[in-house]
Amino acid sequence: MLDQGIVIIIIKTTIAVLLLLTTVLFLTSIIRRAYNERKYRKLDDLKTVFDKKMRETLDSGAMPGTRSEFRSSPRSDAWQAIEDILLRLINEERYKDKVPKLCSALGYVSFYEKRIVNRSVQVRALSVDKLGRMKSEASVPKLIALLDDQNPEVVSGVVRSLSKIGGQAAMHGIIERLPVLLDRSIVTPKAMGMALQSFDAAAIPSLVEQKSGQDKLWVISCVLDILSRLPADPRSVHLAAVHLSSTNVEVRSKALKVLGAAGNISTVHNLPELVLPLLRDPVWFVRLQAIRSIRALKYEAATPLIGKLIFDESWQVRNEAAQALTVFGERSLDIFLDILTGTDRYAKDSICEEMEKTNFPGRLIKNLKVSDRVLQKKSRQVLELMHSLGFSTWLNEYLAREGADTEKEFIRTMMKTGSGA
Amino acid sequence: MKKILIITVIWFNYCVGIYFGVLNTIYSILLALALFVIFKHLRRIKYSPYKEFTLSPETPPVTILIAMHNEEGVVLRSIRSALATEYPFFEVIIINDGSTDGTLQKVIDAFSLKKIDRVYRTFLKTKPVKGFYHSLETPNLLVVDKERGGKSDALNCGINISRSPYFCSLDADSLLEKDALIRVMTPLLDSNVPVVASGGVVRIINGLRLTDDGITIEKIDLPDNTLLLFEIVEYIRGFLFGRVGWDTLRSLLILSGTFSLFHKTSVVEAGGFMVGNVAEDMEMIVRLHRHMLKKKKPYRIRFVSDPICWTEAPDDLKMLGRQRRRWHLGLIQSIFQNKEMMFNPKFGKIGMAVLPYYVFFEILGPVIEVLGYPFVIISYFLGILSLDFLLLFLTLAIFYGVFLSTASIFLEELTFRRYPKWSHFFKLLMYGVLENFGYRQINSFWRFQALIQFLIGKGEWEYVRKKGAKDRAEAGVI
Repeated sequence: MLDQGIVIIIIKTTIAVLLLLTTVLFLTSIIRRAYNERKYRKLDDLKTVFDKKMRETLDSGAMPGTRSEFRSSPRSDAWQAIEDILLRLINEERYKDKVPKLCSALGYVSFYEKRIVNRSVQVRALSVDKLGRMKSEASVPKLIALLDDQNPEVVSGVVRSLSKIGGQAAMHGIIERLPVLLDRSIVTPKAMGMALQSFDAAAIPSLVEQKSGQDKLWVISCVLDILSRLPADPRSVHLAAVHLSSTNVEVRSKALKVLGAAGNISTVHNLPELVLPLLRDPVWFVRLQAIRSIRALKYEAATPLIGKLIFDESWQVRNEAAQALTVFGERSLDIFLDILTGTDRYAKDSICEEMEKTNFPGRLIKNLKVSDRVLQKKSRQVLELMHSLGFSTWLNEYLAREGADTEKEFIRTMMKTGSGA
Repeated sequence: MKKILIITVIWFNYCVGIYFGVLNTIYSILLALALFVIFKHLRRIKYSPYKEFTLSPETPPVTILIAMHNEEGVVLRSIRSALATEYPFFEVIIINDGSTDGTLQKVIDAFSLKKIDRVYRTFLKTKPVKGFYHSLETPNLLVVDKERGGKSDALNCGINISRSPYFCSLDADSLLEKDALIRVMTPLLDSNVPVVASGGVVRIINGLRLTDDGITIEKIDLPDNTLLLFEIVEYIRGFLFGRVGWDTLRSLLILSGTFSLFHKTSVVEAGGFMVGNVAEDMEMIVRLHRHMLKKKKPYRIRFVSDPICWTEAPDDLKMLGRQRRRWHLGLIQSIFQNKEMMFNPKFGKIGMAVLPYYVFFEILGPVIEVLGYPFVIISYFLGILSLDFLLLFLTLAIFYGVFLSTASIFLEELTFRRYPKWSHFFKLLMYGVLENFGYRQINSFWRFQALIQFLIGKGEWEYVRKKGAKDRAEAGVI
């Protein structure tokens, strides 16, 4: 049993602590609310005044940095108001060149440069972000040095800021350290990809030529992934072609992704022949990427092979194959007929669905009046089979259009009897 | 005999005291963690790249799934708010789960939808689909009409149709803030460990004034209804310190089905939402833990405190009682259906600490609370307990509750401050105090009822009727 004295002590202590905490929280809330209301009201007023003055000064061609009215001590309300205005004006086309210089002249750049070595991670990350938003080219060397920081939050921020500032130095700074950063999982491949995308095609030569990390398959796969998101380039295609036979699944898949994104830009001899074996890769996502690459390469001779993938064990591959076949158009008609007269309901549905999505039935209806008798017959058969499977929306919509033509007559008969013949 | 009875009574009273003492300690730890983490998160938002993600093609596509059953009054607002989301690539799939009112027709008319042919493939088994509706004018909207199978079945149907790697479940009576989806996605994009689910804050929409488009908040205000005010305080407490605290401990067991984001493949691998469970959201999270821990793969389930989804809350006791019984029953079902994890070292801290906490404090807690109050007071009047013990009990059960409720209001005030007026602050504070004198005890009673329902095998979905936006929207207030 608890001693009565102890119980009383527990009660008193608990009540006292709770009362004290409640009072502290209550007072903090009240004071903070009142303080913030006053502060933000003042900030809004200052922003209105400074925004007008800043625009007028910049429009007149003068450099506001030379005027004392824009100079203020760090952390003052005026300092914060001017910073907010500068970060807003930098996004406007007519001020975008002047504002970075102004940020430097008014002392913002040096202020944040000092803070990027602060002990607090958040202060470092926030300062790095500010320098990026101010597009401070002079800060690039300091930011690059910060890529060696151990904190992922800070390093990710540095990569983003360097990409915002732009320029060769910033880009090389990132790419040189890319293998290490990716290998140590300090920056996610997604964040890296996003950052390098802003350098556009300029990043390709450095990415293709950088040698460090080439012994690490994970890094190669990330580099290829990034290249697949940059504009199509023969150098990227060449690098991808080299890695098509890699033993690593991710590398093969990313290499195919580069080819898929590059379209039919090709400097590599017999590229389709290099891709074709990958349609039989044991890993489903490699087969999927292979279909996409073949489709981008417009290699229609692969149609029969893709037709076989309609029966693949992976639904993603089956869907992708169906899509690719509809893109190859009339060349795929024989394969469509084979599938639609077969017994695999899944394959039949996939083909019909993809045909509807790509407006292929419209093309088939047009084919009903072409002079090529074989093409006409095959198109009619496909339409009949689609209708028998319940894919009749296109036919109904065509009938609902104004005017009378022989195709409509055929469609009507087909819908009544199940055959247009 | 009398002596044994008295000793039993005294020991039960001690159990009640210990229960409240331990529970309050856990809540205090969660509160302290939440305070620290939210302040850190708020500072981090200042340099968060979420705005860049909004414009980036790297951001993965998401499908917003809205299951609806007889939601005629609110469905258009929900769809419009989902379509207005600021996100690079997303589709909205509405699953009409056998509505018997004009819900489907209302959507078809409002968006000029046409019936389309589409193949329905069932990775997850569901009730049959009757048709698909689509319009070229709103290409990222697809409506599926299916036979009634319940919310889980409808969500599974949406998962079958979705083509995105992630999906977001959204209730039909909810309003998503425009940047909520990208904010809830940000932890997934920033993380080196795969995040299989992520949830945001749900707040109560009643009392808000919307603009003419019906999807933008014009003015945040508090409702006049006393019950709703208690619920607002409760939501603030639950989301702001409860979930943030559990997230910090990497032990989240609940994400609200009203607004949560899931990695589709992980959900499909785990078997999809469980049909028959009345709290499909919680069961899904528990099963995701189980699935990932069994696979021994690294994963995270995250809660983010800044993305906001507003939802309608019941405004009368009968409906609120039904909702709370359903929630508690769902909690019991979810843990019971995954009982293999309990005290099983294979499931790490989830099996060894979090699930036992939920069983002893959340599931069985209402028994102690409902029996504890009268027991302690009667014991005092019968002279079995001293006044000191009674005061200790009241301090732990009531006074500490007042502290926790008001502390969560302070936390809201010091961080997000979504209720802007001084009067809002004081009103919420007052209701934070008052909720400990009746409202909390009624809640315990409903949870106690749910436990009884479970024990007698009456685990059915209790329908909660909400008034909908229609009437109040006409008056400009939701």
